[in-house]
Amino acid sequence: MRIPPARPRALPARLLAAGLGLTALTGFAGPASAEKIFVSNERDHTVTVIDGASLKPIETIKTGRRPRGITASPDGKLIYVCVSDDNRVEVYDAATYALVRTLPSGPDPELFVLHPSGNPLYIANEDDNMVTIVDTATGQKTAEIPVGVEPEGMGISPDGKILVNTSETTNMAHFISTDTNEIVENVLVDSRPRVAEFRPDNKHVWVSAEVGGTVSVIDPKSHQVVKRLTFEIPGVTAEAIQPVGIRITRDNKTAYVALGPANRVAVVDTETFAIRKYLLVGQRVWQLAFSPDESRLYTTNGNSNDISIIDVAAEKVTKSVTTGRSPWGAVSVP
Amino acid sequence: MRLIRPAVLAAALALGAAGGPAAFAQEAPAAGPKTPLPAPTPRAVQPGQGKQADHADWPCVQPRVAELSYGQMWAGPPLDAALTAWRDDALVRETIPTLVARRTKTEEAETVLRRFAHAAGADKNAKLTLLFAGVFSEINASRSAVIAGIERYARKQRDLSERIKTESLQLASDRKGKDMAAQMSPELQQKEQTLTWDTRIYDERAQALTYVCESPVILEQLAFERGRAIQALMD
Repeated sequence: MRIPPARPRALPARLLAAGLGLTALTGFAGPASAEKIFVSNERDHTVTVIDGASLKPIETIKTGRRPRGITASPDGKLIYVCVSDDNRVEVYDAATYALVRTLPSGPDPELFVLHPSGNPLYIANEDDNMVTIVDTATGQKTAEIPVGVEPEGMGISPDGKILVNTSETTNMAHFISTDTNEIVENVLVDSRPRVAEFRPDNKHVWVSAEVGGTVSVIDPKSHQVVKRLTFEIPGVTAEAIQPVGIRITRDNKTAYVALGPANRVAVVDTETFAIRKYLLVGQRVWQLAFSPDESRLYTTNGNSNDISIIDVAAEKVTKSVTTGRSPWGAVSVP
Repeated sequence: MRLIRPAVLAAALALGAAGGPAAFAQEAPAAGPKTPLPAPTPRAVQPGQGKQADHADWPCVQPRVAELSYGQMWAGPPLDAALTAWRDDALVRETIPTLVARRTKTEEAETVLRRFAHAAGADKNAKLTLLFAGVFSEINASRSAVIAGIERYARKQRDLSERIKTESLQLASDRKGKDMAAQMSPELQQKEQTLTWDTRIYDERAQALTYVCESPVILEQLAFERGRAIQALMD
């Protein structure tokens, strides 16, 4: 059960790391491609920036109040943060950490998703039952889509054609056409749905239900629930199992589901739906983010105030890194 | 936007009639969802909220979780036997008080744990398992005591608020119709002072509650931190 130190998986990566180390030692600026992990800290009103090579925090960015949802532009140059208590989205430069601009949202934005092209941004506003669409180039709101009560989770299909929003109170996943901005279908899921995540091949969308304790796997074409996943962990009460964050590997084979106060991440085979492992991470594990090369998965742990680092190939937790208070979301850029 | 749907549907139907089934099939998706949005519903149940109704005395924002479960901080094999057996091990019994004390710093706990693991020798894994079982049981027990204490505290506050209400109504009725001199009588002044004191005590306790409510969370964090440190020493 010894936790081994984080190690690069392949020889080229190791050489690269050594190279970066050397560069740092000799005082030259490192290449701009060094991985950085951005973590939003809900209670500190900050974003912690962690260097992907050393896994050490290198900067703390002061944000608006209550930063939660966090994502990056497709080129990795901009970081978008939902600052829920200031009712807006802030955009930061991933290299200089400067605030570039703010974008409008509805009241209490919690989560959002960028169109795969980088524009527009779809924002779930928890307090007015609307999804706001914002043009990231002009910074203008272009439309609002009425959805269920307390909209929260946001997922977009890899081709950008279907947006899925979940509403916590209505307990539905709303399938929205991005061409018409109209709801195509509403799918009933379990209590308090939190996150919607598409498989990269568009075959299924996974929706987690925090209070229901399940994940519904939905066929985005027929809108049928093809599987309702449940979780059982020896020594953990059922009520502590609260699925939230979901990530699926690019090869579509493995899904990771964060289970909240169970402090575990379930590793799930996406074809058989067998649960291979329940990895013990930090306390109240919330959202998940892959490293750009997908060799690592980062988990935000709201009550232990850290992120855990999972070696994706080994399916093992290798390390934890302290962040600010109540880390909520994370995104990693090259 | 949804209001215009019947019109869209009608248009689609008309098109379908004019252009045949193919044209209808193209327009059909605009007809809106098969499953409509329900009428407005009250706000969602918060995690753990369903359980709160039975605990009217629980005064904290944090959900009342009566007991921790060890699987939340232990990735090893089931602990069932260890949860009682740890008491039979003298070294485990001796080590636990330092580890469960909130004042023990992380580095200090790690030193204690390294020494313990070294002393356990070949039995390291089994002994560390017992140690975790003991740490978990002890912290869980004191956490349960804290929760019972918070509920007692809340009941006392409720009683005090009732008393303040009675005192204040009584004082108002005693003063009614009396002239200023009578209102300032030593007896009524005494009553007023009691009311002021009780109100002040109530306010101070209400403020302290914010911190008191953090205690169960702090103890859970402590159990998790110790569990993580113990597991890091296991092979």
